[in-house]
Amino acid sequence: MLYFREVAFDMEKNIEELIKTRNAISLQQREMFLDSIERINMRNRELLTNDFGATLAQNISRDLAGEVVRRYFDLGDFYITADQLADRFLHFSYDNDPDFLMSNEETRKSVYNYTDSMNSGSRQKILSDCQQFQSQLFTTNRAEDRFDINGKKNYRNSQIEHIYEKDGKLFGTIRDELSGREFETTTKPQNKHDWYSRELQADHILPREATTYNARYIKSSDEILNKYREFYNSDANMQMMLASANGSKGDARVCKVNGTIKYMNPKSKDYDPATDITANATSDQLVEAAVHQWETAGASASENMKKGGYLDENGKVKKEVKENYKKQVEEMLAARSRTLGDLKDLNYQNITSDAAKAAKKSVGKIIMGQFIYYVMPPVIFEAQQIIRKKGMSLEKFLKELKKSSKRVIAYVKDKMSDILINIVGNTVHKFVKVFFDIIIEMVRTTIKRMLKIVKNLVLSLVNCCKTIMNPETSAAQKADSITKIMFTTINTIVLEIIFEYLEKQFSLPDIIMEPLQLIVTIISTNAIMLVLDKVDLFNVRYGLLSANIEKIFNEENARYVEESKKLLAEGYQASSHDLKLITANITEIMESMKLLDMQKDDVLESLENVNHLFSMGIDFEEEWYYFSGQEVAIEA
Amino acid sequence: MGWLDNVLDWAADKVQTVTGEKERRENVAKVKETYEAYRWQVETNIDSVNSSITELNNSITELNAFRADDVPRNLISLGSFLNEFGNVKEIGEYAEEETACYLEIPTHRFISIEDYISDIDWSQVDVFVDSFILGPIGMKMKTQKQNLSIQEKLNALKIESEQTLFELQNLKLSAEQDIEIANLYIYCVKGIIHYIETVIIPELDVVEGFFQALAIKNKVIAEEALANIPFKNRLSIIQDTAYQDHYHFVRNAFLFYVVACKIYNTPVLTNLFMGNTSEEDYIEITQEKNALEEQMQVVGRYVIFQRGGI
Repeated sequence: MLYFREVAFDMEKNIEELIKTRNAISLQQREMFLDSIERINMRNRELLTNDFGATLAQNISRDLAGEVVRRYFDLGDFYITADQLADRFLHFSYDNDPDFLMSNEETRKSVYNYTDSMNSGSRQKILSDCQQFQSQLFTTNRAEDRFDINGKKNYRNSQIEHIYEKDGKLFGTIRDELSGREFETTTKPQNKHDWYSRELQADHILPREATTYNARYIKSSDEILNKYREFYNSDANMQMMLASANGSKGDARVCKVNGTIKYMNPKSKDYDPATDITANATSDQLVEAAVHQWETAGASASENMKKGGYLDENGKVKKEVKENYKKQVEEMLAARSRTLGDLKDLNYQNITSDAAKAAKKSVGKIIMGQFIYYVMPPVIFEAQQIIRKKGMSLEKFLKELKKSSKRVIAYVKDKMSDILINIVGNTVHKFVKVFFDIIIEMVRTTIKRMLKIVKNLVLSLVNCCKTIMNPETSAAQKADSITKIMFTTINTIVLEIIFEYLEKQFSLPDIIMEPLQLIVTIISTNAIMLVLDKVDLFNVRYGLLSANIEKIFNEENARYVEESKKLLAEGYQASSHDLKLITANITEIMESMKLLDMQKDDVLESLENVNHLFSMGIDFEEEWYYFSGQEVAIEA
Repeated sequence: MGWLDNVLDWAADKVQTVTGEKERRENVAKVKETYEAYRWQVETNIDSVNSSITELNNSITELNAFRADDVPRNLISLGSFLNEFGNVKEIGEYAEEETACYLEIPTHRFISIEDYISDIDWSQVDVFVDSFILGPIGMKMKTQKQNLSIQEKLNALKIESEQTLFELQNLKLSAEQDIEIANLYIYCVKGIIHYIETVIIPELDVVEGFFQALAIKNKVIAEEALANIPFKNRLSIIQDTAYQDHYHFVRNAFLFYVVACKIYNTPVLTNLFMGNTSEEDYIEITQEKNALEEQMQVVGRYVIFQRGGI
């Protein structure tokens, strides 16, 4: 009995289990195959899905938002950003209407906080207009200008302190207002009331020659202009400074050249009086103009200024000199605003006339801006819906777009009723409808003309080029870009011609022409771009698509092959190991059977193992019971 | 005219490059090449698997011959011996072990691929007619669409080829394991039957003689007549007695008998290879089959090979 108990083996693993595991691995590998095909097909499908409608909507929205904001929604004047507008164009549906204009006060404030009023379009326009009307205040010869001579002399005399008399002569001190240093001085020999200083000179804070006035908005009477001239030669516009510093500074001017502030001398060859804004410059700009002159002065003057406490060892203007200069300028500007600019000096007629024009223009802009703001989102939305329908041609597209106008008009009318409250009756409806019809007609005409050109001329030309060209990807991509640029250019030209014709034909006002041109240009250019993309002259899209299909296949195939090999190898290894164990077990069982003593030993365990290994399905206990009638007869 | 021919060839090549026709021809050639390699590999591997199946079937044939002749011969003697001691079941009806089926060349699949190749392998006349009707741009768009479709089909053929080879290699290794299993079974069957034949059956007379002597002994003790004694033995009376050895013999002989009957009346190997050993297995397999079919339907929804008029 003991002998049989030593024949122990893994009862869990039999041939049936082995075959089952083998089949399961085979099934698992097949699932890997099906998964790979599924992944390849899904990824390919994503690649091949070409959502024409979404592309059109995205392109139009992005371009239009940028243009509309640039032309109609000046960030300084209005409370909307390009991103917000693009978002509205792109994500609009009748149920989802992100209306930033109608949103709460907080939104307005937050957008307003981003704005820089100095840079707003309206402000810039005002500054630009004012610049045009600037006229020179001092037109007479300086030597003959009594304001100039008297002004400086009076100021110098007024600055003398600590006066005392010695040997019949008057002595005193005079202070450099920029460096703070004091100098001994005396009166002129010929005139005891007239003080003289070798070191310091009286200087115009705002240069006399740079002084201008707005000839359109200020009355040009002698009485008023003399009052201005007197101010600029008064103590308020004077300061005592080192003679060498005054000489080096000369006539320092602040100029705005192509939007950039430059400091220069009017004798410089780059100087253009039209760019001179010295008269309206800020205190910082005036100080910087002087600093620029001092720091670029000649060696001798520079040395004197170092000795006089203006420049440091490196030739840079000292901080305290700058601060004092700025203080002087600020005081002068404050005095100017107190003294000049009385309402009675102004030319009301001109100001009100200009203001009315600007306001009129602004009102038109604001209305059209809001009009586009409300018209375009539903138009883009409708276009997107229509273009997604199957079998859509350009003609069908435009026809369908026109059909959708009822919905668009109803929406715009509802939204704009508050804005156009003064336009009575059916006018709003008519206005919106006409505008919409013109857009559709323009897009149709433009695209037709463009495609005609494409068909007759450009395609054959491009095809010829393509035939000759070396078909390298980079060259193809370049050529693709060039073609698109070419079409954009042609499109613009064609549009200009059409609009010029329209304008002459129907005498449409600017207020309508401008947005019309804007919208039609953007829609037709995008539509043509999409047509070009579809034709794919240089196989760029096709090439990328094909390469991507190949890439996806290679990735998925490599993964599938690698995983399959690994799985099968591991499976084979495990099953052949199990089979070896089973073989060893069976050999042992059969060998032990040869030594069996039928009268002493029990064969049950051996046979039970054979039964188990081959899944023979024998129930020895039941069989024995049936045979012998003994319930518990077997002792394993 | 040599130079003119050269120029014309050059121009034709360039034009075909533009329309995508050149690429299409290259793709068609690749499909043909892949198909030829696929077909050769399938045929070679099927031959290899079938040679293993032949070996397996030879073993099964040998097993069946042994089971049909040697097993019943020994079982009859053993059965009649055991019948003296208890209720012996019938040997049962002989059930043959089934031989494995040979793999066939997938002719239908090959025909379908060949049909596809003939569809995409446009003749010069087809290309000319299409170019004439569709124009250069239309032809280009049609050819590009076709090229993408061929590219996908080619990739599908490549991956199908990989999978078929995996499956054939798998079948080959399984067949080789099955041969080992069959030989193991034959080894066991022969060992058991040989034991019955050489060890048990020669002992039957001796054991039977013992029990007859025991019966006579009992008659003598009971002072009964010694004529017409019925030799119906009861095993239980000798269990745990001085005659335990005989009890063991009968019991062991019975156990061998049960196993031998099973070998004779049940296709044990066939059940193992077919995997239909229990109802539970059947349910499991059905579930796996359903899952596979469901997955194939899902895959079918995403198949995009049908594009390009194919």
